[in-house]
Amino acid sequence: MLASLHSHAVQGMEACPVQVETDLGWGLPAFSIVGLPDAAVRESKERVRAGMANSGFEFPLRRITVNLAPADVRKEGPSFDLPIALSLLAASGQLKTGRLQLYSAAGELSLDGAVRRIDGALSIAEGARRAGHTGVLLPADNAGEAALVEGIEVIAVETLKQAVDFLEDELTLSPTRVDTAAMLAGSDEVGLDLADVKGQQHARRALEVCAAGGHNLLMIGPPGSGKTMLARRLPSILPPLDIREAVEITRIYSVAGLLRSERSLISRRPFRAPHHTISHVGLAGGGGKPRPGEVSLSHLGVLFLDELPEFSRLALETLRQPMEDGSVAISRALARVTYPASFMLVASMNPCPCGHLGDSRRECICLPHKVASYRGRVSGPLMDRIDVAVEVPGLDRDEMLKAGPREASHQVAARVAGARVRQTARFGERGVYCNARMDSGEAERHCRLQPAALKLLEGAIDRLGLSARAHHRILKVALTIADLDDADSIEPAHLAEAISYRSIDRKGWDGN
Amino acid sequence: METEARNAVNRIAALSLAFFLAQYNWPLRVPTGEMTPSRIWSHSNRELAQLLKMPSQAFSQLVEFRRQFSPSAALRNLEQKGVLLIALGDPDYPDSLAQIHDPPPALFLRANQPARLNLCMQRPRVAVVGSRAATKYGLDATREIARGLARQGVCVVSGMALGIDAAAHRAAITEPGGSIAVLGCGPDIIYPRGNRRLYRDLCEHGLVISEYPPGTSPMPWRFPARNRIMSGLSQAVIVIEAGHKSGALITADFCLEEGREVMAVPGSIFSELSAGPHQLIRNGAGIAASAGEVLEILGIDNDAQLELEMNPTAAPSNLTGDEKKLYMALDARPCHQDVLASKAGVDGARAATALVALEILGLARLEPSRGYCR
Repeated sequence: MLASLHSHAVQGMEACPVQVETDLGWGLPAFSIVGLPDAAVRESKERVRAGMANSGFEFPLRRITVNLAPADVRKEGPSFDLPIALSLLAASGQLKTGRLQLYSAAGELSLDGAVRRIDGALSIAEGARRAGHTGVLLPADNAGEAALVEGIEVIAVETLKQAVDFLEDELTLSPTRVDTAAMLAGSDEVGLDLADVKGQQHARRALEVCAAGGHNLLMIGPPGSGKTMLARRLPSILPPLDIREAVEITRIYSVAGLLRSERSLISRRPFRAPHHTISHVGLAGGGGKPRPGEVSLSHLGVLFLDELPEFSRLALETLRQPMEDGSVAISRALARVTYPASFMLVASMNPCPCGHLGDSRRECICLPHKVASYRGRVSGPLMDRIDVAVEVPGLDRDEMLKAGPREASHQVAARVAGARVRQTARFGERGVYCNARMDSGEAERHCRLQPAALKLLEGAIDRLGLSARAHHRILKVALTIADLDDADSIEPAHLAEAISYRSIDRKGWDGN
Repeated sequence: METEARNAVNRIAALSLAFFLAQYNWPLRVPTGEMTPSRIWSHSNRELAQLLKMPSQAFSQLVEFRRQFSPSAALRNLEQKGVLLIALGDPDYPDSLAQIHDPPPALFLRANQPARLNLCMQRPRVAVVGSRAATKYGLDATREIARGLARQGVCVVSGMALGIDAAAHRAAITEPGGSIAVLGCGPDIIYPRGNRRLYRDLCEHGLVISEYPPGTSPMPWRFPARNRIMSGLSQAVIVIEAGHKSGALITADFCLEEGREVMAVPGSIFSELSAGPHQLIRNGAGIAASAGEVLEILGIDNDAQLELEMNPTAAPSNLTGDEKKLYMALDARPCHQDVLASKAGVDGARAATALVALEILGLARLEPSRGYCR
């Protein structure tokens, strides 16, 4: 007696179709699962046996063979519990097979027969839609995220019994629906506001420019000058997510198992601030069973690295490829997966090991070569990928008290959104989100300089000794500043401001 | 004709002597006194060894050197490397250096622009020296004084070390007075490595001097010896921040021995680096609180210029409104641009724009991590 059922295995971001076949043969009672199962899948025997018994079904005392086809794809995690149980019931005649082929199923079973949440439900729903199924049976906890996929019925089941009754058409479960627009709109949580930051005109403006163009930002300043405070307020001025972006981010969080059932859509841009002791695997993703790292979890959002030189060299170097490609490819002996990783890097560092170089409040006690070696810890290639570098001075008490009225986040956010509208019009459907992601060809095409600006640029290259790669970065940032100004071409003032964000290219930065 | 021939012989003798001294692994004092290098080199091996107070076991080294050294090959090599030679006794040899107790027999120079070379050699010179681990205050003071001196046409001499030395060179190098770096290694060797950009700029706009021929590596005993050249070249030495055992104090000692002016910049009583300058002041050194004061003590006339310095220069007329305001807000002390912006009453983004424009015009300079200054 044979039965089979559709399910999916999550590999990286994608769900690949898996057929769960069950055969009940004659012989001594046995239960074996074949088809490259990992430990969690093998253990599902026990959960399925108990779950079935406790739901009022009979566990067949036959020689049971479950095959997860194709047999060469690794199957991981407990999401096969539900399909194995269902196919077992079908094979033993306890479930009529009529509607079985129209649906696919995934879910973990508990010993009492309840269906528990799994990782990657959003990817599974998408896989089911691609495979042309009518619907997909998923744990009720995962139904919200899976319902973000349109064109497929997401049936939320709470117990094994419910799933069986639904498939036998004895119970009507209407497909889960979510109102994505409402979920997006309902995300206006009152967060941290830029109005809390005193002084720091230059850094605030740099933050605005970076938010508008998606540029990578480095803040350099003594401890307590407000670098972290500024960075944490960046999400409050970033442009709101559209639904496509929100689903993209939610998919990553779903795969990483970081979604909570009460918030099934990630409706705000992620802000990730890993500690500097993070390993390169934690940052880029990977592990025996590959999982998204911090670079992917900050996809379409902000990756904040506080105390940049304290991160391990290896960890920092792994950032280079995702920063260039917008995705990270992880190759391991057992799997090769690609996760999206199009993030905005915001980093902060002290100007020197003691932190007080250039601080008006305290003397720096570092030897010059120590300063140079501290700065050298952040490699040139990584520095090359930073568009905007800004010095954040420590404020003394007087300056703090003197600081005038400060703009609130929503005012800045409005300008940022305006600049993004111009960028969307510029790049259209080609999938480039913002100015920072332009390649050199696009940069040349779009960065139109007024004659006076061109002259200024030539002067800057001669006088300030700017390199070719710095020149490239300056043009992109200048374009963003022009966008903020609603200007069609780059004026000298835009260019000059962009140059002011390149203090790391000047003489003396590397202690020279 | 005869003088020319004598000069040529003298140059070769000076060259040979310098090469031998550099090769010999210990500082030897050359009792030049009244003797020219040709006179010294014309001694027999034994006499010369005695003159140099060489230990007897090193005698064979001298014999061997004299046997195989080829001055013409060495000269060719100098030319190839773009290194100039000035011998003691040449008309170009700085008088003030010739007057010290043991002037180096030869100077090896590197300067890409002959005009700047002549300028550095003819101007009055002042040495500005101090600690490698300088504080912000020390660096600010160095910049203020070195730039002030160089603006009045005084050439700033220093040792191209990190900290105060490097700041002094940087501040003076593009000003009218120019800057001379005296090295404790061959003039083609960049030490410390971190100063390679400064070295390049010094070769381009100023002058790099050493008593050691090209290829001589830096050794601990070569730096105190180099200090005597720094003080020898200068009318005065200004010490800014020096610990108890700093090399800057050695330079000051040489200066006192030769009867030149020693001045010190007073420092904070809480800083260890003030120990050196305060000790000097206690012993009677002059206080250098501004470039004007130094010039006055040296008797360099700068009344008209001083006037100018007291009233910050009127901004050049071709500047825009913002640029003018920010230019007036700038001074020799680097300042973060937010501070300058509020001082000038210009908002953030516009201030950034104006400062970069000023920088490109050469009217402002950005010191990374410190800010903009003039």
